[in-house]
Amino acid sequence: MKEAVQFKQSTYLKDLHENAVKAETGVDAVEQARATAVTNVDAWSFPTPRFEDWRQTSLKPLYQQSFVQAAIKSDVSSSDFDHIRLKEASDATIVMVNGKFSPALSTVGNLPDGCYAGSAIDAPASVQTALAKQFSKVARYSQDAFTAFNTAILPDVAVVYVAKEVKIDTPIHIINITDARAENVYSAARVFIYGERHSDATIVEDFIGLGENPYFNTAVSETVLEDEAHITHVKVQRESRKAIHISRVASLLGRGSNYNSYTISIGAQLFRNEPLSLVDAENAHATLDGLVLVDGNQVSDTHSALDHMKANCTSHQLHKVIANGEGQSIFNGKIFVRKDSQLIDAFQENRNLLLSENANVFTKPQLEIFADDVKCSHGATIGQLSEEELFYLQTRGVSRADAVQMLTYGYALEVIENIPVPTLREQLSYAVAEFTGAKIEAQDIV
Amino acid sequence: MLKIIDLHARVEGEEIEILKGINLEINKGEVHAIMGPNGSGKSTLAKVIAGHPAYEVTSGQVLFEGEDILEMDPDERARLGLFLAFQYPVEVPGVSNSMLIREAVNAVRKERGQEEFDPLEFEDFIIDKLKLVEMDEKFLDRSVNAGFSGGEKKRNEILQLAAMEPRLSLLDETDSGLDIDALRIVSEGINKLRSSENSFMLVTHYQRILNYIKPDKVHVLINGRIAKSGGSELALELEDQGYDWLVGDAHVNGEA
Repeated sequence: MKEAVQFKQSTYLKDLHENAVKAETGVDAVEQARATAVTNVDAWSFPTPRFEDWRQTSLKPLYQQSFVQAAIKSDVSSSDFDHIRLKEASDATIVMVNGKFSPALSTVGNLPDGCYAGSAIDAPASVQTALAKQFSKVARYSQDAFTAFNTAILPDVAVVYVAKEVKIDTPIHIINITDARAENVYSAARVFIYGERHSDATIVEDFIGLGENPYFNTAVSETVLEDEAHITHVKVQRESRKAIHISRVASLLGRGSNYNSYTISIGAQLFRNEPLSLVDAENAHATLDGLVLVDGNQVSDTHSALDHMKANCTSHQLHKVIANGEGQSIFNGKIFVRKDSQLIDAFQENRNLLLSENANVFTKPQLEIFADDVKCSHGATIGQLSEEELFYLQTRGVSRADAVQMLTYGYALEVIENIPVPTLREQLSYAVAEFTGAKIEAQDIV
Repeated sequence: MLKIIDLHARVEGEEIEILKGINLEINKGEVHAIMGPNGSGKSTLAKVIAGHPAYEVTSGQVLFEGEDILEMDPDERARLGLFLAFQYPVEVPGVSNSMLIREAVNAVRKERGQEEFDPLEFEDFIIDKLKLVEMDEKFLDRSVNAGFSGGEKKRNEILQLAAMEPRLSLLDETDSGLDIDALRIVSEGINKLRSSENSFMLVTHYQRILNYIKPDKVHVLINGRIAKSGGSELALELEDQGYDWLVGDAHVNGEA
């Protein structure tokens, strides 16, 4: 067994990389990207607080621990994640353990013709073509050590490919499991989603951890939508409370396409998420909604970028936060409207609900608009629950404490209720109820 | 049932009194209408009785079944059998109607020493109440008042009233904004809920709802005081003559 990697300021990234076993997927597109990433990893380092985008969020939890690479072989069994299974996704559940596709735990054979769910390594020619065209080209994060690190060490890539004019009626569930039962580990989860023209699918990317040890998970996903494709992409971050989860969720939108993404942040000690939506064709729509629940000493940080590169597009971003205990939430929402991107309608709102005096939220909407005929609205609120709503519930005999729980639950549900997977809505409703202490019955699930 | 003695109240933190000495007694089984022009304090009266935190009672008493309730939280008052139907029912996104009403009913039942309903028992219970206000079952699954029309919101208030079976119901302008059909449904619902055991206080600007619900007494509130009380015929008089003749009187009395 290799020794755990200790933090040293300038060499940590390099050390982690050198500690990792040399991965090899045999997939040309992936290996080409890896070659570039390895060069970058050797040259770059993880961000320090001097980086403008890292001023609010400290990587100390990462630096204070030592980690070894998560083993590729693991004895994870179905019972370890049955509680998060989605019954709607019984036809297509991809299970990735420590970043590696697990054929034994996955069910991926029941998709319509031309569609594919599984490892990039086994993917058919059409999927290889898509990978060659777009793999690692959507995650356009500049000089990003985390993306490079992920690409350099990833053992595998989970792929969902939706063929032309096919609508997959049932959701596809990607379960990313990090096994931290034996020791402190780091792992790299990688996802590639590709929707051909006029395709339609819902993908749920899920993250859990096993065991009590701290772990460091880098996750990168890339979603490509060809013209008129409709993709709903849900990211559920329900890692263990010991996790450091650094995430990149990139999407590239074709003409007339529709990308609806919902990110739910429940777990992890430190979660940093960077959604990036490249709206690079006309008449497209992007939704980047989020729900963040933080308490204890959790930190959840969303740095999003929505880039309107072409005219006649719309976008919607509702980012809701509930902060309790000493929880901390950071939101930085960039919206770019390029010079010739006229007639853009962009909506952004960040709402923060503070339930304790020690909770902390930072919010920074950042609109950079270079076109002149656009409609961009943005707003950020930080507040407590409405007295009028509390009074209303109290006049119904509900105690103030119960009313607080009910309203908090309702507040969170505004994001959850749009997720088109009933079982997931139910699981998340219970998770929210557990967070807020609200008592709910099966009948109450919206 | 309800006895109000020289009640004075103002908005918390402000100087000006809105209620300037209200005296009112509502007996078991009675329906009282509180009428008055805009700004006379009639909605404030309903909210103060229910315990709205925005108002501060500066003096006076509110006795409910002989007990002074002014120190009680709104939810304690509700569990004792006091109900406020809101003029503007609050939208509570994400909380289903069935969840709220079940919590409300069980809170009241627990207070009365009755067994709480489980979700299935509650469903049976609420179906009957829905018929009373001609509401579809699907309203139970929707978020409380969210996206409801004005009429649906008011019917939902009466549904909650029916479910909680209060002893005293304060209806704050339940008739405002209702079309004829909705007014009829709401009024019929209330009439069916009337009994010799419970009482109602109807706050209203117009006489219209009193065509459907015949009050035992009518009180006219002007500038924070009851300027005139009478039988149901007083409402008709107000409909014909407006409030101006009473506003003058009130000033005379006020200065006297």
